[in-house]
Amino acid sequence: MRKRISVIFCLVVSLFTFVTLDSSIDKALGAEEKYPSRSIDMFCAYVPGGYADLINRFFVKGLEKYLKVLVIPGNKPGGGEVVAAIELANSKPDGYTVAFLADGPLIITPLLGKAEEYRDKLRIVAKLICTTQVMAVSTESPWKTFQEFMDYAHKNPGLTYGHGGVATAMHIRAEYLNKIGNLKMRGVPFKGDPEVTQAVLGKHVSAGFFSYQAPKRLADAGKMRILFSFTPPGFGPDPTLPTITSFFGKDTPDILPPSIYVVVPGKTPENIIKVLEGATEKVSQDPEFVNNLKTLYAQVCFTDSKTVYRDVLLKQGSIYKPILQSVGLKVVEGKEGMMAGVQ
Amino acid sequence: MDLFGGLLSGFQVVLQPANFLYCFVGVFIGTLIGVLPGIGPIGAMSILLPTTFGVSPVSAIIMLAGIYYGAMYGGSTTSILVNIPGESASVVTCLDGYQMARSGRAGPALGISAFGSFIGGTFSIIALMFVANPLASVALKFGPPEYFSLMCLCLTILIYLAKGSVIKAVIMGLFGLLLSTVGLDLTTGKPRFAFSAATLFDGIGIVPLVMGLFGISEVLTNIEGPLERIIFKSSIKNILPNLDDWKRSAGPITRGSVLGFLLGILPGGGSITSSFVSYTVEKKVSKHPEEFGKGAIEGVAGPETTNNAAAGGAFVPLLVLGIPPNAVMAVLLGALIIQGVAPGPTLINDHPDIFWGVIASMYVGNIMLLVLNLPLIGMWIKVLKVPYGILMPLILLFCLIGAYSLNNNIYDVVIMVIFGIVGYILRKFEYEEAPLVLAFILGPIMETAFRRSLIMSNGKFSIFWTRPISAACLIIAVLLFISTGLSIYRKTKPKMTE
Repeated sequence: MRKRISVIFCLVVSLFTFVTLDSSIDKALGAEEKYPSRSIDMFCAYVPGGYADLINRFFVKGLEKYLKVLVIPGNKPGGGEVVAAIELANSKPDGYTVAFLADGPLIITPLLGKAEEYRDKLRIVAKLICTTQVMAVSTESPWKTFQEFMDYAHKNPGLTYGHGGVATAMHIRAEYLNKIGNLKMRGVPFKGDPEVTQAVLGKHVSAGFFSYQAPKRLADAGKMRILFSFTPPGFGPDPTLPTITSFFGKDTPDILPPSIYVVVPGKTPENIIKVLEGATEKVSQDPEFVNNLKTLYAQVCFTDSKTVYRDVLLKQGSIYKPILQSVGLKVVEGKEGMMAGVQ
Repeated sequence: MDLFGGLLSGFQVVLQPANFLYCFVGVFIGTLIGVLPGIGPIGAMSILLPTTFGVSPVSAIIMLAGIYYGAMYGGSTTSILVNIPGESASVVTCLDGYQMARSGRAGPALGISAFGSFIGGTFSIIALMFVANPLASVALKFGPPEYFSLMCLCLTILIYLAKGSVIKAVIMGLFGLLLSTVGLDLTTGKPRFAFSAATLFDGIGIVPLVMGLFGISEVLTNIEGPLERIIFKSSIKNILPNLDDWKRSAGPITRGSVLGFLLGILPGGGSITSSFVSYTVEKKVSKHPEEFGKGAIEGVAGPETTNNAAAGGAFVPLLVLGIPPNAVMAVLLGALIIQGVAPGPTLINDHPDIFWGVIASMYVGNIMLLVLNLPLIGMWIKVLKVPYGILMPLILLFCLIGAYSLNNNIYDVVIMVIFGIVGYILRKFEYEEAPLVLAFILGPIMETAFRRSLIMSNGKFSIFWTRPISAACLIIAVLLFISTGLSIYRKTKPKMTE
């Protein structure tokens, strides 16, 4: 009996060793695999159920369709997306670990000089999504339009507004509006949209700045009123809302909508990046994906990797820089304050 | 649609075979998740989220909701049996539940925990039906100043958590507050005590901390004892609570139901805080407070009822306003949004099947959980007979896996092990963990609320006493503090005059 068990055990161990060695030998001999040939891990930097997580799950569905492999969604929250960025930077650059990252770790954190661990170790495959962020007030407040709010703010400096965190994309937009509109508001930081929503509904702050979907639901229910949108004119789910250029004039530098990017480790081979970029572009044109995004009031704004570095990161960075400085944060100048590859 | 009509239509929805099955799957997985230390309902819900894409919204939410309140049932099992909280909300159950198990009363502890969870859960569903809307409006009145004052009130109760020295409890509270400052400062965005480690930017996780302080330290403490030690001197008998247990638990269960539901509505209130508050209230009103910490059944009945009632209360802001009060509700919100349903003030009118279906499923789910958990008590008790040489390594293994499963981050495991060693040292010097945990949870809420309040008021402290709710909480906190101080003085005065 014992001998039989020993034999079976040896067989199992041998089989396991053989399987492992086989794949190792292939890799050692440099056997080329067609990409992708196995499942891909695709994680986002936020907790499950959050906005970015939902977008990631929709994207994963689309990617599976075009890459014909299993794509596994994951979450690596923490540190303002920095944990996810570092995790990605330290992953194997074989195209099987991909992440969804937003403006935070790709533009803001480098400007603040906190991206040393990953700044030159990531490569953006494409910009995929633009989200809409808005300013809203409670329906019990006296302002029905942004003009009324602005006039009131000029006469009564010191109004408060809620935002989802210091140096977040939302905070930067709020301070930008504060500056160009001379609103003289004080920002009260909260942790994410739900807390801002509660603060606005409870009238603990005069206004809130958040992603469109939360105030939109409440606006439909008659509890909130959306006064301003940070999207270029004609873009975004509600083109009737005032925007930077439509309200303050075409010459006012606009701030691009917050975006979400598909990112891989920096040393990922070019051929793999091309495959991912192509699949991402196909997903961006897929009607099911586009429709799914509409439930989150997000929009596709595909931009390829070359254009992203040249036009998006640099431009957004130059607008974010003075705003970050105005709220007392120290900004890194020059190339050291940008992701590697920004021209 | 009137209440009873709505509820009947909800039962019609949930008693369809498919939805009934989803409810069962949800509560079963939730119980399992609750029992396993570390792996929480959020992890299970996020893994199962894709499976809900192809089903109807009501089925999806029934299953996911079942995982959440099922986890509250299961979380007490390991707290009672091996002093490791299966869920962070079950930390308080460790204090008396484990002591009950050590004296051969694991069965009544598990039993009263199951019954208390059922009653608390059922109460919260009934309250959800009748008072959700007005209570949601009340919850909105809690802004930063109110939160600060409420947290001050909650912090004063940590004195009552102490079994032994009050001074040591205060020291632990201060230590907990200090630990809670680790991470990104919300107001300035600058890291504090993070030592440039990105993993610490969000602070020390509550789950690895609690698992380390209670679980790992328990393993380390037991390593000191002989391997062949008999675990319990008395035999395990009476696997269900007796009449005396019920008499003693009736009050805590009643109070816990109300307290848990009310605190669960508040974002940041939640299951953990409410269970601590319940424990302290029961200790304060008990005729035998000296029994707490040594196996008082009230110390199990109250908190376990409360955390299930709080789980029900957490649905109020989600279903009524579309605001998720905690991370678990955020996953539910995400699941609804994926299905094209927007929870909020119009949910009950636009999607009455979802609103009433979820409520009815919670009734059914609570009954399923009671039926699931009661027969398992006999099986769980047998765990206590497993030799320590096998049990402790298994506990260690589950804790390590559980800690890693939180965020797939090895540093969570490292934190857990560090706090395991810290917990072991604290035990040696007879410092209690519970005040540390309470202060750790309340500290960040209190600090951020304080600073937000001062930003709102442009630096004026009067904001705390010019707002009625905030003023009331502060006055109660001061009175409680003075009354505690006086009673401690009265107790020590005879010793001093000697």
